[in-house]
Amino acid sequence: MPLSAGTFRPYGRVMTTDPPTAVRIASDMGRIEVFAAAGSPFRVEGRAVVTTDGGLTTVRGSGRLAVFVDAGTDLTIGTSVGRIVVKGPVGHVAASTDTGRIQIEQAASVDIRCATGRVEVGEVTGTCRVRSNSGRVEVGSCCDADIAGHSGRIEVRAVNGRVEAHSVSGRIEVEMAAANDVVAETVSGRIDVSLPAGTVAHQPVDGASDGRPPECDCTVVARSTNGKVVVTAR
Amino acid sequence: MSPVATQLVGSVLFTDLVGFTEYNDVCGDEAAVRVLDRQRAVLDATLRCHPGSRLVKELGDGLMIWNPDALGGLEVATGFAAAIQAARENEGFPLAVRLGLHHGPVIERGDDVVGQTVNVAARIAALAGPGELLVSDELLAACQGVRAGALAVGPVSVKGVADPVWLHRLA
Repeated sequence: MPLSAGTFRPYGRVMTTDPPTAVRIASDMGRIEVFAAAGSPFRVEGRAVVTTDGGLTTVRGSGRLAVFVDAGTDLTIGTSVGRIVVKGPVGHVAASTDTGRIQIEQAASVDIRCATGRVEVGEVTGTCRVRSNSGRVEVGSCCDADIAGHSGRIEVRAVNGRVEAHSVSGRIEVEMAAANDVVAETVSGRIDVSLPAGTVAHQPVDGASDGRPPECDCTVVARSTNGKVVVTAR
Repeated sequence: MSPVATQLVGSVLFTDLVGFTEYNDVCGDEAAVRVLDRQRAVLDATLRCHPGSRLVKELGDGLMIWNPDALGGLEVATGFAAAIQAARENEGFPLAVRLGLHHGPVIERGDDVVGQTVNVAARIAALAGPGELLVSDELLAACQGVRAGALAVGPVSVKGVADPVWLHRLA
C-alpha cells in the first residue's frame, strides 16, 4: 500500500508501490546511498522515517541509509557528517554534506555542496554545479559547469557547454570537448584550460568578457592574481 | 540592570567576499582596504533604495544586514549581489560575494540583533558559492510567490537547531 501524507515508519525497511518522482533524504550522520534503476520500486533500508506529500517523498534518518529509486528520480540529499553515493541514472541531484565524500555516477543535473570532502561526479547531461571548501572536485563530463572551490583542486573534463570555475588557492584544470566560453578565476592557484584542436579563442587582456572578434570560436577569461595561467588548443 | 530586550521578526543577511584573506595576502593591505571601501559604497547605494534595511555590523570583509521585512531583505540581497557583479564586470572589482538570508525572530541588543536566526543566516552564507544567494525555507515562506524561482539545494544541519534547515538557491 502506498504511503500517504503523514505516514511514517520508524525503523527498518520501508517500501511503496508507486515510485516517487522526487525524493528528499536527510540524515544527521552516516552514509547515504541511493541506487537508481529503471522500474525499481521505492525502498528504504535503515533507520528512517518516511513521509509522502503528493509526488514528494521525504526520508529522514540517522545512521546508514540505502534508498532505492526509479531511474530519473529527482533527489535532494543532505547529511552533516557522512558519505553520499548515488549510483545509476537519476534526474536532478542536490546534495550537501559538511564532512564526507560525495559521489554521483550519472545525473541530468547536479548541485553539490561539500565543506570538507572529495566530490566525484561522473556523467551529467545538464548543468553541473559544485561548491566545495577544501576537497578535490572531479567532473567526468557535463554540459555547463559551474564549479567553485577554496583550496582543493578542480578538474573538469569533457565539457560541452560553458564553464565557470572559481578557486582561491586550488588549481583549476578545464578540458573542453567543444569550443565554448570559459571563465576560470583563482587568487593564487594555477589555471590550465585545454580547448579542442583548431579552436580560436578570444582571451581578453584585461579580463573583461565582452567584445569577442567574429573570427573567434569562444571567449576564455582565465585570471589569477598570483598563479600561472595556461590556455592551450589540443 | 540590563535593559528590557525587544524581540523582533525579520530577515538577516550575511555576506562574505570569497578569497578576501588570500587576496589581502597577495595584493597587500592597501589593495584590501580599497576592496572593502568599494564594497561598502556598493552596499550604501543598495540600502538607500531600501530605507527599512540597515547595516548591523561589518565583520572583516563580511557584512550583516537587518531588514524588518522578508521581501525587503530579499530585495536588498539580490540588489547587492547584482551590484557587486556589475562592479566585477565593469570596474574590475576583484572578488565575488556569497550571501545567505534567513527569516525569523531576533532580540535587539543596542544596535545589534542576536539569536538563532542570526546564527542560521551566518551558516547559510558560509555554504554559498561565489556570486550565490542561498535562502532558507522560512524566508521563502515569508515571501509568498518567490518560491517559483528557487532551486532546492538541500538540507543542512545547524548547530543548536534540531531539524535540518532546507536551503534554496536564488542567484
